[in-house]
Order: sequence, then structure tokens, then C-alpha cells
Amino acid sequence: MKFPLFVALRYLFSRRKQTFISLISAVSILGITIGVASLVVALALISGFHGEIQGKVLEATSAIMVSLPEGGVRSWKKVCEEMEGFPFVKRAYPQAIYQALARGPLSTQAVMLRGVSLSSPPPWARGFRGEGLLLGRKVMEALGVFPGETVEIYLPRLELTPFGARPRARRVRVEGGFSSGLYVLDNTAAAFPLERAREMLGQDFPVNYINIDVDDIYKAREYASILEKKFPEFTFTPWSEINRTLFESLKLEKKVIFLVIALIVVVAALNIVASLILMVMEKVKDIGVLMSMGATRGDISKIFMYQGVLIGIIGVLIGEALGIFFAFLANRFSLIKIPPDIYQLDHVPFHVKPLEALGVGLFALFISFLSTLYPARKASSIDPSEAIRYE
Amino acid sequence: MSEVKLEGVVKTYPGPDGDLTVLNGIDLVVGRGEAVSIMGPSGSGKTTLLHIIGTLLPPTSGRVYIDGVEVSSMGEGELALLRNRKIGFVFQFHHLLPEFNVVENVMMPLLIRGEEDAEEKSREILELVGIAHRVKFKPSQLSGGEKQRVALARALVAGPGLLLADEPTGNLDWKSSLQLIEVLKDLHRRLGFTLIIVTHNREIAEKWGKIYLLERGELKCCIN
Repeated sequence: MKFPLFVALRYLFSRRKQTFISLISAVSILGITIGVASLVVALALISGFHGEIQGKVLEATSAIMVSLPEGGVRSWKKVCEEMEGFPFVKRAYPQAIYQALARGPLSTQAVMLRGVSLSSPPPWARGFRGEGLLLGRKVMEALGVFPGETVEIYLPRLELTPFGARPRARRVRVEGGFSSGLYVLDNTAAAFPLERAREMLGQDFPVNYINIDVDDIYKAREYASILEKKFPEFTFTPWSEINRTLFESLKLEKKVIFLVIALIVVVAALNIVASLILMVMEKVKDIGVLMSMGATRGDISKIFMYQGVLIGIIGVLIGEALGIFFAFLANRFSLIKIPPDIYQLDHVPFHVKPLEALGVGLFALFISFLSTLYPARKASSIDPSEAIRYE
Repeated sequence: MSEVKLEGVVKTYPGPDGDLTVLNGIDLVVGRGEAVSIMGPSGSGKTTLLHIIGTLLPPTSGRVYIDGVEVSSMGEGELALLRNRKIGFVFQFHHLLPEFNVVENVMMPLLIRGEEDAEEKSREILELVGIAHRVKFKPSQLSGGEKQRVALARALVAGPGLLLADEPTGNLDWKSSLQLIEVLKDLHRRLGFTLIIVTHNREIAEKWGKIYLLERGELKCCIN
């Protein structure tokens, strides 16, 4: 073992005459531990939320949403087939989205009529038989209808009656409900089968959107621009753009949380500075003796740098372990419950990203290293002759 | 063994009423393998002179040669290497490192130079100073005489050509002092290093060849 590391390890772990210095070293390790664990947990929380929300957004929409020209496209099947010809496109499926009013026994409320193809339904409409409307759970609750009952749908089309122009109304049976976990779908969606639109609602609803699933959602923007060149008449919006403000705010939140919690690590680093300065003061004579034996000023610097970095390494290892263990427990046993009607989740999800955890560790180590520079410089500037002159 | 030569060494310290001259033009030659003692009253500059010879302190003016090489032209790193390779120190207070046991304390100069068989060599020298049975003891568990023997072993473990002993018996009772001096004489005879011993005790000083007297900043030779 190298001489400076050998001395540093002994200084750090041996019982001290000055118990106060041991206490400050312990507090420094504890501070780094708490800081690192908090950072790991906080970043895992944001990543977990981000991941869950991203998953739900992708479930409700798709990696790329294609807006078709006004009036829709009748040859959507051909368009979908052409899009599926691209190697990165896993699936292209149609949707028709129109506003309407629904009236049930309890209330009347605005809904989004979503025409889905029974042959390629979106994830939230799997199992839809197309024998009536498929309503979001919250829509069903608000209207006060149960499967098998009917609701009145007011379409955004006018028809002439003896009493003047009135919105076209149809009574439609409710086949069932769905719960996607996404607010906008559960609270507003009323799905109908595209194939039976005329029979059910008395008119055609041309497909005005095409959803595209791709092999890598993080390349959605790149893929969208490739598709845009082939289909310049359509508008391609990647998933990250659809909820841009939400994702941007999550990113900002992550940065702010990192900065705030990182202050714990900085305060812990100040403890390292204090404990090392006190140790240098206690070890003045030893430093002089070591220099009389041929230790260079660089060796002396390294002894105290190693000590600070060792404090950092111990704190980081314990902190990382604690943070990851807490995140695992919190996920495994759903430790932190939250109201699902607000957050669309029943517990706080934690997702520890290895790169983020590594980054936190490196950050704490870097701060620990910085905190050793001043005490190490102080130690190496000691005059050996003066240091060993007296007992 | 090393040769030490001082030419016109002056050391002054800044004081409230101007510079205070502690050493005033010291000339000294100590041949290879020679043993000399330097006596002088407290505050006469004995320790300062020893630190200048040991390259821990630069002289204000004058030249110091170790084995014919002038040390004032050397950089910090070279001086550290010189101390590690050629010079051993024994202090009045043992100055053992309290966190390390006996053998670890003795190993230290060898660890500094990165030697592999540091422990083996340390055990050998501890055998020579008669303290091999205490290798795992901490300094706090040793008597004053034992601590100084360990300090002596540490000073000699790297095989220096020059041993500088600053009042090595100053903190010991008479019996322990005599025992330490006997060990030191024995090692000097066996290993042949050059020895400069500073003491204020005439009986201790007389056990070596020449006795120098340092008084009012000047060194007088051969008062025996």
C-alpha cells in the first residue's frame, strides 16, 4: 500500500485523543450519506413519475400522432399500410376525434368522440367489441350510466327540424367503460367503432388522426421528420411535443430538486474541511517527523486528501446503498400512497437510473475532493524544523 | 557512512529589535564514520545547527555539504530524498506516531521510499536495538527508554550514512540513558554511520570522540 494512503487510513479509523475530530469526521460521513441518499431517492422519484406519465401518455396517444387535413382521409387504410412500410414503424392505426355532448340520467357533459378501428384499436380500447359506446370510467360516473343503458349523444352537426336547426342527436347503447389512468381519456372519452359509425351515429366520421408506434420512442422526433418528407400534407407530432409543457416542467423540477438537495452534500463537505483542518492542527508534530524521514510536501498533501476522499467514498457508498434500498422498498411495498384520482397512480413510483445514481456519487466525491484542497495545502506548508522542535 | 562539512554557516531569526544571530559562521567537518558530540547551554542553537545539517532548515548564509554535495542548491524533492536515503534523526522526545504500532513506526522511512520488504527489515533492526518483543505494541504502551530505542531503530532502518541525535537521552532517567547510549555505541560500531549527537550532559558527550562546544553562536572544537 502506498505510504500516504497507509497513513490516511490509520488517521481516519484510529481512536483519537481529540474525540471532537472523530465526531466531526463521523458527522461529515453522515452528511455525505444523507445527501447522496436524498439525491438518489429524489431523482428516482422524479424519474419514476416521468416514466409512469410517459407510459400513460404513450398509451393514450402514441409515439407519433399524425394530424390529417380537415375533413379527414378516406383512404386511411392505404396510408397506414404505407407508413408501416418504414422499418422503424411497428404499427399505424387510425382514430377519429370529434367533440360532442352526452346526456345521461345524471348530467350532460362534453365528451370527445373517439372513433377507433376494431381491427387495430389503441391500447386503452383493447377488448372493445364495437356493440355500443365505450366510455371513460369518469364519464360514466358523471353521466350516471351503466353498461347496457343508453345515453343521448348530440353531434356537432345541425339538422333542420320543424322547430328550426338543431344539433343532430342519437341514442346510443353503452357497451362498457375503461380506465386508462390518464385524466383526459378517463374524463372525456367516448369511443365508437369507426366501422359502424354511420349505423350507430347516423353519419360517417372520417379518420382525422393516425397514431404510429415506433421501435424506439426516443427517436420519435427523428422518425417524425423522416415521415414528414414522405407525407408532406400531414402534420407529425412526436409524443414529447404533445405534452411538452408537462415534460419540460418535470425536467425543471428535477434540476431544482438536485440543486436544493445537493446543498446537503456541500454542507457535509464543509464538515470535511473543518475536520481536516483540526486534524492538521493535531498532527503538526507528526507531519514534521514524517518530513524529517523524507516524506515530500506532496506526500503530506496526499495524506489529508486521501482522508477527505475516503470520507466521501464511505458516505457515497452508504448513501447510494440506502437510497437504492429505500427506492426498492418503496416500490415493492407501495410505501408512499397517493390519491389515484389526482395523480392517476396509487403510490409514488421510484425508478433509480444507474447513470443518475453514478452521477450523484461522482458529484459527491468531487465535492469531497474539493474540500480537501485547503487543509492539504495547509498541511504541506508546515515548517518541519518548527514542528518537531518541541514536545 | 557520510561526510558532513559546514562552511561559514550563519542563521539569523527576525526579532522585535532586529535580527537575532543564533549561528555565526560555523565551520565543521565530520569525517565518514566519525562520532562527535556538540554541547552547549539551552538556547545556544544546538538544535538549529542539527536541523541545518539535517536539511530541515536552510541557513541564512554559508554552505552545507553532505558527501561533498552542496545541499542549498537542492530542491524540496531532492532534499526529501536525501533525508530519506542518507540521514536519520533521533529527537529528545521520541516523536513516535501514536496511531501506529512499534513495527509500523519503524517501517515508515521504508514505506516512504516504497520498499517491499519494509516489515522484514524493520523487525531486523528492532532485534538489534533489543525491542523485538514489543513489535505490536503502541507507543503509549512502552516505557521512555523503549520508546527511544524504537525511535533509534526508525532512524537507522533505512541505512542512513548520517545519524543526527538531538538530546536523545534528555528525557530519560540515568539508567535508561546509559542503556540507550550503549545500544547506540554498539550500532555505531556495527553499522559504521557518521554520528553527530547534541547533548548538554558532559558524561554522555564524553562517550564519543570529539566534543564541540556551541556558545554565543560559535563552535569551538575539541574541548576534551
